[in-house]
Amino acid sequence: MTQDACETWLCMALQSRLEGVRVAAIAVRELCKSYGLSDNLQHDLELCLVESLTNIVKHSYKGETTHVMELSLRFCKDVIVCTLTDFGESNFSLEEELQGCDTLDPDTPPENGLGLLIPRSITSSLEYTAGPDRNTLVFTIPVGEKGDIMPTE
Amino acid sequence: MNIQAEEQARCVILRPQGSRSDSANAASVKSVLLDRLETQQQTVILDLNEIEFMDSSGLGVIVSTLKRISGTKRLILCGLQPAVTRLFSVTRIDKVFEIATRRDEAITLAKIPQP
Repeated sequence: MTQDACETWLCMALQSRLEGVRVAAIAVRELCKSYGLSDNLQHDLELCLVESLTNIVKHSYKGETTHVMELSLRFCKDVIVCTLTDFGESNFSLEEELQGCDTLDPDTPPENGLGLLIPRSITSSLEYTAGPDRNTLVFTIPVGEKGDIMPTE
Repeated sequence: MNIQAEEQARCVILRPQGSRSDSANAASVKSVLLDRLETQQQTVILDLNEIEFMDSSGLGVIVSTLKRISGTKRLILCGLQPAVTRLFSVTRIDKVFEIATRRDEAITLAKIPQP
């Protein structure tokens, strides 16, 4: 799908604070409501967004609150594409972070480390690209499954 | 986030008051919640009815609560909103907890010996 086929809903620059993650989540939730997305889709998108942004704050920026993270949300025909960009450390392996997530033991549930399991479980694709000056996480959420149909104009 | 506590039918019922349980407040919620676990009652019911959104940090707080009281007390969750139910399902944590739909059902469940 080409960029032209997508409608950009939202672009935001956020300070690398957990409170900022919350603000972004609430903004996206309200945006979803205004577009008439189903509650299920709103929940999934908000959850993926919060987990991914929190991951940036904690890992790329090590909790430092003076940095910037960028959020772009686009609707492309039958998927929502969320692009998150940060300018912090890139020594992060998505595969390593996800390692072991498939073997969750109910007898010994983890208190943390579940963050990226959530976007991976919900999204149709999850890609992380580490570059020399920026890191980008892109995930897509299909629209149309579970009755989450976009409204007509 | 404040956590309201009351005792009923030999259970202590803890009700977090706030709409979000996430990384921004996980540490403070955990601290308050663990303090509230100092009770003589053998069953703790955590009523999550007010929580409209929870992320993995909030979930971690509940898991740590379970670990804290494991072996000495029983933990039953109730009042999960759809977004919270979804989180529990996605992470498969729902298999770890005893979960009731409503508070009165949780109290009824507490009267039944733990499986």
